[in-house]
Amino acid sequence: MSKVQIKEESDIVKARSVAKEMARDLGFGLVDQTRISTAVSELARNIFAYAGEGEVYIETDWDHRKGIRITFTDQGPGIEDIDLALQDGFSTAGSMGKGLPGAKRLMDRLNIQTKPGEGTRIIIEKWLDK
Amino acid sequence: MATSEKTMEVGKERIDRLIDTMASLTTGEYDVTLDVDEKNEDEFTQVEFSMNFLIEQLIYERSENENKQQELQEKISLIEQQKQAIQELSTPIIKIWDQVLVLPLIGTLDTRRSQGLTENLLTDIATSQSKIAILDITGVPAVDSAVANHLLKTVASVKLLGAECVITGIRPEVAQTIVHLGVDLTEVETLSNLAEGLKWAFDRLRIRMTQ
Ligand SMILES: Nc1ncnc2c1ncn2[C@@H]1O[C@H](COP(=O)(O)OP(=O)(O)OP(=O)(O)O)[C@@H](O)[C@H]1O
Ligand SMILES: [Mg+2]
Repeated sequence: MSKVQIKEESDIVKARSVAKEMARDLGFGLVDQTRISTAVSELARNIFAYAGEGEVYIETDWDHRKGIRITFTDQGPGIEDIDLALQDGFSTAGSMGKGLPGAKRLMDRLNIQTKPGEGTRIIIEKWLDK
Repeated sequence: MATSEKTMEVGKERIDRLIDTMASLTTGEYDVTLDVDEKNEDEFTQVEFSMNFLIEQLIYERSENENKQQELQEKISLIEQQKQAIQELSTPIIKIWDQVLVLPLIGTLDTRRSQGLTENLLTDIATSQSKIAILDITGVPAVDSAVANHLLKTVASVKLLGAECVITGIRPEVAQTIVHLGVDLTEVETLSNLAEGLKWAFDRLRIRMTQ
């Protein structure tokens, strides 16, 4: 398992590379490695953009499943409406609104826990044993 | 042991002044000195002198410290400048043919770098009167929505200058990811590699010439 603190923009790249390396070592192919690292990039960027700082936790062993699981935690403003945030094109930042829905499509599982004013925790998983 | 029994009287006022001075020092206020009555020198005068000496020493150390800090700050900004210079150098804009520019992008595109790249490209297009810009992203490891957004913005700005833009070198795994991400690049001309991009450029130029 690995932990990357997100404080500045370059930390997004760090999180992405660590995730990609771990995915490769676990046996994911190039396409999946790219999917995983892109999803990490999106969610880590959201931490940087909306919460300012937070943490990315990457693990490859849980619940007897073979795969990669990445947890993004921040103490930022939280997400008001999860369903809305997961819609393509929804953005409070005038951006493309592709991050959350995109990450969901790129991974096998995406789970959001959030409380306005307290923060957000997002878990994504990609499994080798589907 | 007669000497150890020796005592002296010091006025409370002098002790208070000494304490005040020390208090100032602890708050970082060094602009103080003790008035020393040299005419009526006694053993406590030595303490007062030492205190003044200490203050001078502190002032000197502080200014040395500030100089060092400034030096360090200058070095840091020099490194920052060099870093930026290297980044810019690492993305040369190549005039590959009359009116055709190639931008071989390598490495991670963060916000700052993308903005710099776009600016440089626009300037170069304007000064060289180029009509076509080829953005080759073979060397870009990942295209997330932020990078895609930068690329789209660059393409749009190039269009505003009356030139055309083509993106080449999107690797298969990157292409798949972009599609999953839901980023729409259909409005943008994309080709598999630089050679294709050049062919396309020549076709466009010929079309322009015959028009
Ligand atoms: N960690 C977070 N904390 C608070 N709000 C968030 C967080 N992540 C996402 N959001 C909210 O959810 C919205 C949708 O996020 P998403 O990543 O899908 O799009 P975006 O960041 O606005 O645009 P894009 O990622 O395409 O540049 C954001 O605009 C923001 O309001
Ligand atoms: Mg986002």
